[in-house]
Amino acid sequence: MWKNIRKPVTIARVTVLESIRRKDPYVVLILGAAMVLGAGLFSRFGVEGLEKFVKDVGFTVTTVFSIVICVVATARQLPAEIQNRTLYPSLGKPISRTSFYFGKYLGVSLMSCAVVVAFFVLLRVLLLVFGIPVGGVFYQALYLRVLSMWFIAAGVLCLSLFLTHAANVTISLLACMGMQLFAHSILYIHDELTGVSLRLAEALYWMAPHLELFDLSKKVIHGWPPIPMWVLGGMTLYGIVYAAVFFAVGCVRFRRMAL
Amino acid sequence: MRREGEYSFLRTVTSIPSVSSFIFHPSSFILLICLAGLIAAAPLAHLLAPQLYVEARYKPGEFQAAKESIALSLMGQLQMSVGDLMWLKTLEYLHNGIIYRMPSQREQSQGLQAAEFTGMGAGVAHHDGPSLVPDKDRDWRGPLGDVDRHIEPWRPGHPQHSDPQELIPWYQLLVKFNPHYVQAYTNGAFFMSDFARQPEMGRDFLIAGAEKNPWSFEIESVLGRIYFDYFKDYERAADALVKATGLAKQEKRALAERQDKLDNIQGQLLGEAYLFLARSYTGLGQFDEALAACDEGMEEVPGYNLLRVQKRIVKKHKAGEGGGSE
Repeated sequence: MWKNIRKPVTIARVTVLESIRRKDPYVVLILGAAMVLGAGLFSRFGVEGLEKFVKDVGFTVTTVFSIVICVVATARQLPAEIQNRTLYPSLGKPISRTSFYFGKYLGVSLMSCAVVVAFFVLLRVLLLVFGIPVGGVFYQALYLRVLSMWFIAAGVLCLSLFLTHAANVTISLLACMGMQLFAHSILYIHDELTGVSLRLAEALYWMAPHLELFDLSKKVIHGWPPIPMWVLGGMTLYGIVYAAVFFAVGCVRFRRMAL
Repeated sequence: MRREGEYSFLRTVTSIPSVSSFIFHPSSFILLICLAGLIAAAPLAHLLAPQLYVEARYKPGEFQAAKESIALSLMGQLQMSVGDLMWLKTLEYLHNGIIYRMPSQREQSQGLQAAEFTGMGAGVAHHDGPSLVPDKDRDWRGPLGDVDRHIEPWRPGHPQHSDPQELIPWYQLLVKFNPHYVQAYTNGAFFMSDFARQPEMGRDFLIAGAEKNPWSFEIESVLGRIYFDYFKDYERAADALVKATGLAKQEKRALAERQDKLDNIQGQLLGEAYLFLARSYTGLGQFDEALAACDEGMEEVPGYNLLRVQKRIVKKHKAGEGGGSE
């Protein structure tokens, strides 16, 4: 059992080390520092009771930067390995393509989760400094954001086998950032639609991976109470199902790829 | 002896590796050169500044070129869009994160109408329709809808409004992006003065807005009201409100030429401008001017009944019967 797990774990470890060597964590630290400096903006307004604004800026920065880092880091994994020809010596060793693919997925997902946790720690410190209280919903938001990293990494890694690097990064970022806009647009127009267009809109809504459902930031910003545990459970299941689908498609493609 | 002492001091200094390596390191020379450059740049900048002076106003040729520039047009559209997005953000804050939308045509035909909210004074009035995330009985999404109602801020029933103080930074940011967003100045100043209890901040915000929008009667109207309400400075209030009514007349004329008229919020603000002008004159003891302001106001804004009440108060004051100006 351990022998089977050890190989992808080793690949994952190398992926994380490679990310550290490429100075990705430094990027996180620099972005974090920018976030803290941005918080200096608040003192300029000189009005008390700006908790929502501080939380809003902090969460926006955290969400955007963690998604960008996850997408960029994941999208380059396999194309870089193929382009630099470092994939061949790895596959020459007694390791299956599935294990290699799983190891890559594990590595980038863990790295992205670490980035999210680092951002949330930074954000929590920032809120502590400003004396802004956060309830249990803050930690629920952290959980869902971590969960979304596994979801996004699976999707981007899968797409990296079908699209060029630039196209993958662009499409993935648009999908991650624009999913809420897409869902809201369907909700806006749904009542005015009829017939085929209505069925099409509903089918699109059902099939699309709803990344916006992993975003609890508005609830934290506006001081709402924690959400029920069954919702977190449901979202965990939703994330696992979608990540598994993306992983399976990517894995099949990787195994059949002529290298 | 003395020279020997100096040498020994130098030896001591240069024998400390860190100090000597710092002094004689090439980067120290680069730093020194940069420092010298900065010192030299100060008088140079002083000499060059008048040559680099750019006039704030466009010359006629430049204005035409700016109108035809695609890049400037795109930048202008971006400016408007960012401003509008920030305006939506203020509404989101006001509704505790819940997004409301206007009812669709089908909903309107079924009798669902947007409720008008006027609880916070003129300029802050807006319409609240149903929430974007539908109620359970109207939702077609089944379990996804149930999850969405827990993830997105959502509450059944009528909208509830949060502390508007939280909106202030968005107004401040909004006018940085679009300094001609007049309603951001009027709303922001109202919330600063009223909810945040910082009338000085509200006044300065409006003065900055008036500098950037010298044609806006709305800004002068709210400025006059702030002078009246929070500073009891009737003279300045009257000055601002006279300016406001003059600008409003110009705007009405310009709108009439285009077969248009003031909207509801503008009409409300104009009525308030005449009301507070009359009150300011009353506070200054200038009863004839106050009566004239009431008469003019009733003519300009016929539906604004508070002016009739104010006229009666002024008449009582004039006859020596009344108490205060309120």
